[in-house]
Amino acid sequence: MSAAAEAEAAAVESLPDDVVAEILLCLPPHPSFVSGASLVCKRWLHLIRSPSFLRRVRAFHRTPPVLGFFHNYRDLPSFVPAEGVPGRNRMDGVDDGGTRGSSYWLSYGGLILEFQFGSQSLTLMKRPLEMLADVRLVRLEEDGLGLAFIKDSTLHLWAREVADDGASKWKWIPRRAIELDKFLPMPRVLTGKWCGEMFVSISGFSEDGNVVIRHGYLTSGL
Amino acid sequence: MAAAAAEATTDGGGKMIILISADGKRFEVTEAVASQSQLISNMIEDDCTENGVRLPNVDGDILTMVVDYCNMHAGDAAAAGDTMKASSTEEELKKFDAELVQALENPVLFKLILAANFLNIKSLLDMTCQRVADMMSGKTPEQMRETFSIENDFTPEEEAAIRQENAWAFDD
Repeated sequence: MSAAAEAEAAAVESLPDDVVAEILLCLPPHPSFVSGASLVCKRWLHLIRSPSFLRRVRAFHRTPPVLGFFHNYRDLPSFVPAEGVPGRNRMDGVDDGGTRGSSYWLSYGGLILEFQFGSQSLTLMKRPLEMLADVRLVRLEEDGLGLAFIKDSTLHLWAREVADDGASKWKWIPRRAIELDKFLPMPRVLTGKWCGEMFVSISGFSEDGNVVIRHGYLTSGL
Repeated sequence: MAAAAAEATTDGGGKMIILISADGKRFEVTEAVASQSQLISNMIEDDCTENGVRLPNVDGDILTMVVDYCNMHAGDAAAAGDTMKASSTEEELKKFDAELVQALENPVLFKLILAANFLNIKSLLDMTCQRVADMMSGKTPEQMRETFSIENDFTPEEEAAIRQENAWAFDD
Protein backbone atom coordinates (compact mmCIF):
# COMPACT_ATOMS: atom_id res chain seq x y z
CA MET A 1 0.00 0.00 0.00
CA SER A 2 1.42 3.40 -0.94
CA ALA A 3 1.82 6.21 1.58
CA ALA A 4 -1.02 8.13 -0.01
CA ALA A 5 -3.32 5.12 0.11
CA GLU A 6 -2.43 4.59 3.77
CA ALA A 7 -3.29 8.19 4.55
CA GLU A 8 -6.68 7.76 2.87
CA ALA A 9 -7.39 4.54 4.70
CA ALA A 10 -6.49 6.18 7.98
CA ALA A 11 -8.78 9.08 7.17
CA VAL A 12 -11.88 7.04 6.37
CA GLU A 13 -11.34 4.79 9.36
CA SER A 14 -10.84 7.80 11.60
CA LEU A 15 -14.42 8.96 11.06
CA PRO A 16 -16.62 8.14 14.07
CA ASP A 17 -19.56 5.78 13.57
CA ASP A 18 -21.97 8.66 13.80
CA VAL A 19 -20.35 10.45 10.87
CA VAL A 20 -20.13 7.31 8.72
CA ALA A 21 -23.84 6.78 9.41
CA GLU A 22 -24.44 10.41 8.38
CA ILE A 23 -22.71 9.74 5.05
CA LEU A 24 -24.68 6.52 4.47
CA LEU A 25 -27.88 8.47 5.17
CA CYS A 26 -27.07 10.80 2.30
CA LEU A 27 -27.17 7.94 -0.22
CA PRO A 28 -30.20 8.00 -2.52
CA PRO A 29 -33.24 6.46 -0.76
CA HIS A 30 -33.56 3.39 -2.99
CA PRO A 31 -32.62 0.39 -0.80
CA SER A 32 -30.20 -0.98 -3.38
CA PHE A 33 -27.74 1.85 -2.66
CA VAL A 34 -27.64 0.99 1.01
CA SER A 35 -27.48 -2.73 0.23
CA GLY A 36 -24.40 -2.12 -1.90
CA ALA A 37 -22.75 -0.11 0.87
CA SER A 38 -23.46 -2.87 3.41
CA LEU A 39 -21.18 -5.18 1.41
CA VAL A 40 -18.16 -2.87 1.69
CA CYS A 41 -16.99 -3.92 5.16
CA LYS A 42 -18.25 -5.29 8.46
CA ARG A 43 -18.36 -1.88 10.10
CA TRP A 44 -20.63 -0.45 7.43
CA LEU A 45 -22.85 -3.54 7.49
CA HIS A 46 -23.17 -3.26 11.25
CA LEU A 47 -24.07 0.45 11.03
CA ILE A 48 -26.64 -0.11 8.29
CA ARG A 49 -28.30 -3.02 10.11
CA SER A 50 -28.69 -1.19 13.39
CA PRO A 51 -32.33 -0.32 14.17
CA SER A 52 -31.38 3.30 14.82
CA PHE A 53 -30.05 3.66 11.26
CA LEU A 54 -33.39 2.59 9.78
CA ARG A 55 -35.15 5.12 12.00
CA ARG A 56 -32.76 7.84 10.84
CA VAL A 57 -33.25 6.88 7.17
CA ARG A 58 -37.01 7.24 7.59
CA ALA A 59 -36.66 10.58 9.32
CA PHE A 60 -34.13 11.83 6.76
CA HIS A 61 -35.89 10.82 3.55
CA ARG A 62 -39.42 11.07 4.97
CA THR A 63 -41.37 9.46 2.12
CA PRO A 64 -40.01 6.04 1.23
CA PRO A 65 -39.24 5.52 -2.47
CA VAL A 66 -41.79 3.79 -4.68
CA LEU A 67 -40.24 0.45 -5.55
CA GLY A 68 -43.01 -0.58 -7.86
CA PHE A 69 -46.69 -1.35 -8.03
CA PHE A 70 -49.00 -4.28 -8.61
CA HIS A 71 -50.74 -4.24 -11.94
CA ASN A 72 -53.91 -6.24 -12.48
CA TYR A 73 -53.46 -7.82 -15.83
CA ARG A 74 -56.15 -10.28 -16.87
CA ASP A 75 -56.88 -11.22 -13.28
CA LEU A 76 -53.25 -11.99 -12.65
CA PRO A 77 -51.60 -9.24 -10.65
CA SER A 78 -47.98 -8.80 -11.48
CA PHE A 79 -45.36 -6.66 -9.82
CA VAL A 80 -44.06 -3.87 -11.98
CA PRO A 81 -40.83 -2.38 -10.64
CA ALA A 82 -40.97 1.41 -10.77
CA GLU A 83 -37.37 1.82 -11.67
CA GLY A 84 -35.86 -1.61 -11.35
CA VAL A 85 -32.39 -1.46 -9.99
CA PRO A 86 -31.48 2.23 -10.06
CA GLY A 87 -29.47 3.15 -13.06
CA ARG A 88 -31.31 0.84 -15.41
CA ASN A 89 -34.00 3.14 -16.65
CA ARG A 90 -32.58 6.23 -15.14
CA MET A 91 -31.19 8.80 -17.47
CA ASP A 92 -28.52 11.00 -16.09
CA GLY A 93 -29.63 13.58 -18.57
CA VAL A 94 -29.78 17.30 -18.86
CA ASP A 95 -27.45 18.59 -16.24
CA ASP A 96 -29.06 21.33 -14.20
CA GLY A 97 -26.14 23.05 -12.61
CA GLY A 98 -23.54 20.45 -11.98
CA THR A 99 -25.13 18.49 -9.17
CA ARG A 100 -27.15 15.61 -10.51
CA GLY A 101 -29.27 15.08 -13.58
CA SER A 102 -32.89 14.22 -14.02
CA SER A 103 -35.03 11.12 -14.08
CA TYR A 104 -37.83 10.73 -16.55
CA TRP A 105 -40.94 8.60 -16.58
CA LEU A 106 -43.24 8.04 -19.49
CA SER A 107 -46.94 7.80 -18.70
CA TYR A 108 -49.58 6.16 -20.82
CA GLY A 109 -51.44 9.43 -21.14
CA GLY A 110 -48.82 10.90 -23.43
CA LEU A 111 -47.06 12.83 -20.72
CA ILE A 112 -43.47 12.72 -19.56
CA LEU A 113 -42.68 13.39 -15.94
CA GLU A 114 -39.29 14.91 -15.23
CA PHE A 115 -37.70 14.95 -11.80
CA GLN A 116 -34.67 17.19 -11.38
CA PHE A 117 -32.39 15.99 -8.62
CA GLY A 118 -30.64 19.31 -8.22
CA SER A 119 -33.71 21.45 -7.65
CA GLN A 120 -35.86 18.52 -6.41
CA SER A 121 -38.65 19.64 -8.72
CA LEU A 122 -41.17 17.84 -10.89
CA THR A 123 -42.14 18.98 -14.38
CA LEU A 124 -44.76 17.58 -16.72
CA MET A 125 -44.06 17.60 -20.45
CA LYS A 126 -46.29 16.71 -23.34
CA ARG A 127 -44.89 14.51 -26.05
CA PRO A 128 -45.57 15.08 -29.74
CA LEU A 129 -48.97 13.96 -30.95
CA GLU A 130 -47.63 12.11 -33.96
CA MET A 131 -46.16 9.43 -31.80
CA LEU A 132 -47.63 6.01 -31.32
CA ALA A 133 -48.06 4.20 -28.06
CA ASP A 134 -44.75 2.38 -28.11
CA VAL A 135 -42.48 5.29 -27.30
CA ARG A 136 -39.22 5.02 -25.41
CA LEU A 137 -37.16 7.65 -23.67
CA VAL A 138 -33.57 7.67 -24.82
CA ARG A 139 -30.47 9.61 -24.08
CA LEU A 140 -29.11 11.51 -27.04
CA GLU A 141 -25.73 13.13 -27.58
CA GLU A 142 -24.65 15.64 -24.95
CA ASP A 143 -27.03 14.01 -22.49
CA GLY A 144 -30.12 15.48 -24.06
CA LEU A 145 -33.52 13.88 -23.71
CA GLY A 146 -34.85 12.06 -26.74
CA LEU A 147 -37.78 9.92 -27.76
CA ALA A 148 -37.72 6.88 -30.03
CA PHE A 149 -40.62 5.15 -31.69
CA ILE A 150 -41.28 2.93 -34.68
CA LYS A 151 -43.82 3.82 -37.32
CA ASP A 152 -44.13 2.17 -40.74
CA SER A 153 -40.89 0.20 -40.32
CA THR A 154 -39.01 3.41 -39.61
CA LEU A 155 -37.28 4.21 -36.37
CA HIS A 156 -37.85 7.85 -35.49
CA LEU A 157 -35.67 9.73 -33.05
CA TRP A 158 -36.86 13.06 -31.66
CA ALA A 159 -34.89 15.39 -29.48
CA ARG A 160 -36.02 17.87 -26.89
CA GLU A 161 -34.48 21.19 -27.73
CA VAL A 162 -34.59 24.39 -25.79
CA ALA A 163 -36.47 27.07 -27.71
CA ASP A 164 -34.70 30.33 -28.50
CA ASP A 165 -37.27 32.44 -26.70
CA GLY A 166 -36.60 31.21 -23.20
CA ALA A 167 -34.57 28.72 -21.22
CA SER A 168 -37.64 27.17 -19.63
CA LYS A 169 -39.30 26.52 -22.99
CA TRP A 170 -38.48 23.65 -25.28
CA LYS A 171 -39.93 21.79 -28.20
CA TRP A 172 -39.65 18.35 -29.76
CA ILE A 173 -37.65 18.28 -32.97
CA PRO A 174 -37.44 15.26 -35.29
CA ARG A 175 -33.76 14.35 -35.41
CA ARG A 176 -33.38 11.16 -37.38
CA ALA A 177 -35.53 8.69 -39.24
CA ILE A 178 -33.96 5.32 -39.92
CA GLU A 179 -35.66 3.00 -42.35
CA LEU A 180 -35.19 -0.30 -40.63
CA ASP A 181 -36.16 -2.53 -43.54
CA LYS A 182 -33.14 -1.26 -45.47
CA PHE A 183 -30.88 -2.74 -42.85
CA LEU A 184 -32.95 -5.79 -42.10
CA PRO A 185 -35.49 -6.75 -44.71
CA MET A 186 -38.78 -7.83 -43.22
CA PRO A 187 -40.70 -9.77 -45.82
CA ARG A 188 -44.37 -10.27 -45.70
CA VAL A 189 -45.08 -13.81 -44.74
CA LEU A 190 -47.43 -15.77 -46.92
CA THR A 191 -47.32 -19.40 -45.98
CA GLY A 192 -50.39 -21.50 -45.44
CA LYS A 193 -52.84 -19.76 -43.20
CA TRP A 194 -50.19 -17.44 -41.78
CA CYS A 195 -50.40 -14.19 -43.50
CA GLY A 196 -49.07 -11.15 -41.80
CA GLU A 197 -46.22 -8.84 -41.19
CA MET A 198 -43.37 -8.81 -38.79
CA PHE A 199 -44.39 -6.58 -35.96
CA VAL A 200 -41.40 -4.68 -34.73
CA SER A 201 -41.15 -2.92 -31.44
CA ILE A 202 -38.41 -1.41 -29.38
CA SER A 203 -37.37 -3.68 -26.55
CA GLY A 204 -34.57 -1.63 -25.17
CA PHE A 205 -31.56 0.51 -25.67
CA SER A 206 -27.96 -0.08 -24.87
CA GLU A 207 -26.49 2.02 -22.07
CA ASP A 208 -25.06 4.72 -24.30
CA GLY A 209 -28.20 4.88 -26.39
CA ASN A 210 -26.43 3.89 -29.58
CA VAL A 211 -28.00 0.55 -30.27
CA VAL A 212 -31.65 -0.27 -30.48
CA ILE A 213 -32.65 -3.80 -29.77
CA ARG A 214 -35.78 -4.75 -31.55
CA HIS A 215 -37.95 -7.74 -31.27
CA GLY A 216 -40.54 -8.82 -33.67
CA TYR A 217 -43.21 -11.44 -33.99
CA LEU A 218 -45.72 -12.51 -36.53
CA THR A 219 -49.24 -11.28 -36.53
CA SER A 220 -51.56 -13.67 -38.21
CA GLY A 221 -54.43 -12.75 -40.42
CA LEU A 222 -56.94 -15.52 -41.08
CA MET B 1 -1.67 39.48 22.27
CA ALA B 2 -4.44 36.96 21.99
CA ALA B 3 -6.26 38.49 24.91
CA ALA B 4 -5.92 41.98 23.45
CA ALA B 5 -7.17 40.85 20.08
CA ALA B 6 -10.04 39.00 21.71
CA GLU B 7 -11.24 42.31 23.14
CA ALA B 8 -10.89 44.15 19.85
CA THR B 9 -13.94 44.99 17.78
CA THR B 10 -14.43 45.31 14.03
CA ASP B 11 -15.80 48.36 12.28
CA GLY B 12 -19.18 46.68 12.27
CA GLY B 13 -19.06 46.39 16.03
CA GLY B 14 -18.82 42.56 16.20
CA LYS B 15 -16.53 41.22 18.87
CA MET B 16 -13.47 39.36 17.57
CA ILE B 17 -12.24 36.01 18.80
CA ILE B 18 -9.08 34.06 18.04
CA LEU B 19 -9.09 30.45 16.85
CA ILE B 20 -5.83 28.51 17.27
CA SER B 21 -5.17 25.40 15.19
CA ALA B 22 -3.33 22.26 16.30
CA ASP B 23 -0.13 23.55 14.67
CA GLY B 24 -0.42 26.98 16.32
CA LYS B 25 -1.86 29.02 13.43
CA ARG B 26 -4.10 31.85 14.62
CA PHE B 27 -7.27 33.05 12.95
CA GLU B 28 -9.08 36.20 13.97
CA VAL B 29 -12.81 36.08 13.24
CA THR B 30 -15.93 37.88 14.39
CA GLU B 31 -18.21 36.19 16.87
CA ALA B 32 -20.91 36.06 14.19
CA VAL B 33 -18.58 34.09 11.93
CA ALA B 34 -17.31 31.78 14.66
CA SER B 35 -20.68 31.06 16.21
CA GLN B 36 -21.74 29.09 13.14
CA SER B 37 -19.83 26.42 15.01
CA GLN B 38 -22.21 25.24 17.72
CA LEU B 39 -19.17 24.30 19.83
CA ILE B 40 -17.75 27.84 19.71
CA SER B 41 -21.20 29.40 20.02
CA ASN B 42 -21.61 27.54 23.34
CA MET B 43 -18.16 28.71 24.43
CA ILE B 44 -19.07 32.32 23.61
CA GLU B 45 -22.22 31.98 25.70
CA ASP B 46 -20.18 30.57 28.55
CA ASP B 47 -17.72 33.44 28.21
CA CYS B 48 -14.65 31.28 27.79
CA THR B 49 -13.17 32.59 24.54
CA GLU B 50 -11.14 35.39 26.14
CA ASN B 51 -7.74 33.83 25.59
CA GLY B 52 -8.52 32.41 22.19
CA VAL B 53 -10.06 29.04 21.34
CA ARG B 54 -7.56 26.19 21.02
CA LEU B 55 -8.59 23.50 18.58
CA PRO B 56 -6.06 20.72 19.20
CA ASN B 57 -7.51 18.33 16.61
CA VAL B 58 -7.87 20.72 13.66
CA ASP B 59 -4.85 21.44 11.45
CA GLY B 60 -4.15 24.94 10.18
CA ASP B 61 -4.84 23.96 6.55
CA ILE B 62 -8.22 22.55 7.45
CA LEU B 63 -9.06 25.44 9.79
CA THR B 64 -8.28 27.84 6.89
CA MET B 65 -11.01 26.12 4.87
CA VAL B 66 -13.42 26.13 7.79
CA VAL B 67 -12.82 29.85 8.45
CA ASP B 68 -13.25 30.63 4.71
CA TYR B 69 -16.50 28.69 4.73
CA CYS B 70 -17.77 30.45 7.86
CA ASN B 71 -16.73 33.89 6.57
CA MET B 72 -18.60 33.20 3.35
CA HIS B 73 -21.71 31.96 5.13
CA ALA B 74 -21.80 34.53 7.90
CA GLY B 75 -23.61 36.86 5.49
CA ASP B 76 -26.59 34.47 5.23
CA ALA B 77 -28.61 36.04 8.01
CA ALA B 78 -27.45 39.61 7.35
CA ALA B 79 -28.45 39.50 3.68
CA ALA B 80 -31.87 37.99 4.34
CA GLY B 81 -33.49 41.43 4.72
CA ASP B 82 -32.43 42.60 1.28
CA THR B 83 -33.94 40.30 -1.35
CA MET B 84 -31.81 41.52 -4.26
CA LYS B 85 -28.64 41.12 -2.30
CA ALA B 86 -29.77 37.82 -0.85
CA SER B 87 -30.36 36.20 -4.23
CA SER B 88 -26.95 37.13 -5.61
CA THR B 89 -25.32 36.06 -2.39
CA GLU B 90 -27.11 32.73 -2.54
CA GLU B 91 -25.75 32.10 -6.02
CA GLU B 92 -22.25 33.01 -4.94
CA LEU B 93 -22.55 30.73 -1.93
CA LYS B 94 -23.69 27.81 -4.04
CA LYS B 95 -20.74 28.32 -6.36
CA PHE B 96 -18.34 28.69 -3.45
CA ASP B 97 -19.65 25.52 -1.75
CA ALA B 98 -19.54 23.49 -4.95
CA GLU B 99 -15.97 24.56 -5.68
CA LEU B 100 -14.91 23.88 -2.10
CA VAL B 101 -16.05 20.25 -2.01
CA GLN B 102 -15.35 19.39 -5.65
CA ALA B 103 -11.70 20.32 -5.29
CA LEU B 104 -11.02 18.13 -2.27
CA GLU B 105 -9.06 14.90 -2.43
CA ASN B 106 -10.14 12.06 -0.17
CA PRO B 107 -7.84 12.53 2.85
CA VAL B 108 -8.51 16.28 3.01
CA LEU B 109 -12.24 15.77 2.55
CA PHE B 110 -12.31 13.37 5.50
CA LYS B 111 -10.29 15.76 7.65
CA LEU B 112 -12.76 18.54 6.81
CA ILE B 113 -15.64 16.23 7.79
CA LEU B 114 -13.92 15.50 11.10
CA ALA B 115 -13.42 19.22 11.74
CA ALA B 116 -17.03 20.04 10.84
CA ASN B 117 -18.17 17.25 13.16
CA PHE B 118 -15.92 18.37 16.03
CA LEU B 119 -16.79 22.05 15.66
CA ASN B 120 -20.42 21.09 15.10
CA ILE B 121 -21.06 23.14 11.96
CA LYS B 122 -24.11 21.34 10.64
CA SER B 123 -24.31 22.86 7.15
CA LEU B 124 -20.64 22.10 6.44
CA LEU B 125 -21.00 18.57 7.81
CA ASP B 126 -24.11 17.92 5.70
CA MET B 127 -22.43 19.26 2.58
CA THR B 128 -19.22 17.24 2.98
CA CYS B 129 -21.10 14.04 3.89
CA GLN B 130 -23.29 14.50 0.82
CA ARG B 131 -20.14 14.83 -1.28
CA VAL B 132 -18.86 11.46 -0.03
CA ALA B 133 -22.28 9.87 -0.61
CA ASP B 134 -22.29 11.26 -4.16
CA MET B 135 -18.88 9.68 -4.71
CA MET B 136 -20.36 6.34 -3.58
CA SER B 137 -23.60 6.25 -5.52
CA GLY B 138 -23.50 4.27 -8.72
CA LYS B 139 -20.48 2.31 -7.52
CA THR B 140 -20.32 -1.41 -6.80
CA PRO B 141 -19.13 -2.49 -3.33
CA GLU B 142 -15.73 -3.29 -4.86
CA GLN B 143 -15.46 0.17 -6.41
CA MET B 144 -16.45 1.81 -3.12
CA ARG B 145 -13.70 -0.10 -1.28
CA GLU B 146 -11.23 1.01 -3.92
CA THR B 147 -12.31 4.65 -3.79
CA PHE B 148 -12.00 4.85 -0.02
CA SER B 149 -9.18 2.31 0.44
CA ILE B 150 -11.30 0.09 2.64
CA GLU B 151 -10.21 -3.48 3.22
CA ASN B 152 -12.77 -6.19 2.57
CA ASP B 153 -13.00 -7.94 5.94
CA PHE B 154 -15.75 -10.37 4.92
CA THR B 155 -14.97 -14.00 4.24
CA PRO B 156 -16.19 -15.10 0.80
CA GLU B 157 -18.94 -17.11 2.57
CA GLU B 158 -20.13 -14.08 4.55
CA GLU B 159 -20.13 -11.93 1.43
CA ALA B 160 -22.11 -14.53 -0.50
CA ALA B 161 -24.67 -14.77 2.32
CA ILE B 162 -25.25 -10.99 2.39
CA ARG B 163 -25.47 -10.91 -1.38
CA GLN B 164 -28.09 -13.63 -1.31
CA GLU B 165 -30.17 -11.82 1.30
CA ASN B 166 -30.17 -8.70 -0.82
CA ALA B 167 -30.17 -10.44 -4.19
CA TRP B 168 -33.07 -8.35 -5.46
CA ALA B 169 -31.02 -5.19 -5.07
CA PHE B 170 -28.06 -6.31 -7.13
CA ASP B 171 -27.86 -6.62 -10.86
CA ASP B 172 -28.66 -10.26 -11.71
